[in-house]
Amino acid sequence: MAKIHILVADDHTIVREGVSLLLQSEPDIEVVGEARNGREAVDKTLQLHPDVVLMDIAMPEINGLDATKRIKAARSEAHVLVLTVHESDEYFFQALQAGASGYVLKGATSAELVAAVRAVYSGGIYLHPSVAEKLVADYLKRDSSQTNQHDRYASLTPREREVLILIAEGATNQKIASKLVLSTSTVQTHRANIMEKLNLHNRAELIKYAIRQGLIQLE
Amino acid sequence: MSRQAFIVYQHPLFGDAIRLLLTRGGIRVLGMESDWKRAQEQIEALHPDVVLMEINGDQEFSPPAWLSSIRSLPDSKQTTIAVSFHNNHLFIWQKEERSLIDAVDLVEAIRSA
Repeated sequence: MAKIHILVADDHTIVREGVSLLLQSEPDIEVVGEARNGREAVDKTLQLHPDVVLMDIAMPEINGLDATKRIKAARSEAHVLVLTVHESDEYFFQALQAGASGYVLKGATSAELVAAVRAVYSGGIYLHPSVAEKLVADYLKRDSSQTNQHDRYASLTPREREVLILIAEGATNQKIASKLVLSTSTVQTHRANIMEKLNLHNRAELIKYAIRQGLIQLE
Repeated sequence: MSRQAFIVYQHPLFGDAIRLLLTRGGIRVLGMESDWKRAQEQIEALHPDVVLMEINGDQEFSPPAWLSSIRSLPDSKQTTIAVSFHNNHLFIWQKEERSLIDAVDLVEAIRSA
């Protein structure tokens, strides 16, 4: 059976040694090296050709994110699995952008870590369950906010939609009145209704809304 | 006779890793627990020579929480060692506070505690 060759990069000695020992106890995993900082992680990846690099983020010399970028640029076949205490989306997205194939939190169990190593080795993406949960929650929140905006737009009358576009394009009340053959006071009423229905408070918000909804385009 | 230790951890991964490192170093690990109240019950029942605690910046695992936890133990025979993986620091209760070098260093600290 071909073993998964892994390099463990972490600046905390005990963590590095312990995690290496833990992985080494798996029959299909062989720890081929350890690195104490990002620079060593890059050098040892090029020298030892591990299949998977287990990478901490906060490390001296070069941090784990920069080391990941360098590793992927020099040896794209190496799979980088980030092991970190950072739960924020910011780090997670940066890690994926840098080329990492997985993101495991240090709060994981050893079984989860081993599963993550096997998943990225097989070419998959591994997300720690709490990170995945957070991403799904964010997605649903965003989706629900988009649905709300869509519902609000649907509540506008055809005439209000025309007025909305003209306001967003920078037309004055008088100009809109003249173009749509309405009185300026009617345009003002339409304007107030649009603001209320869309929960907008000024023209800048209205323009942003129109751009986001694709009603007008930036030149 | 080998020294006996009990591990109180915050991160399961560290708990497992430390158990392996100590076992490799000839220390017998009697048990592991992440909840302090349950740990306290087990420590009282098992009487380890050393209680090894993971500490960090989180409130429950901070040094002040650690001190209060130790004071709540009725049996004062065991030595408590706290390790911060965040900054590689080793605290031996009422004896020593220093940087932790590596796993061998930790095993030696437990043996000589």
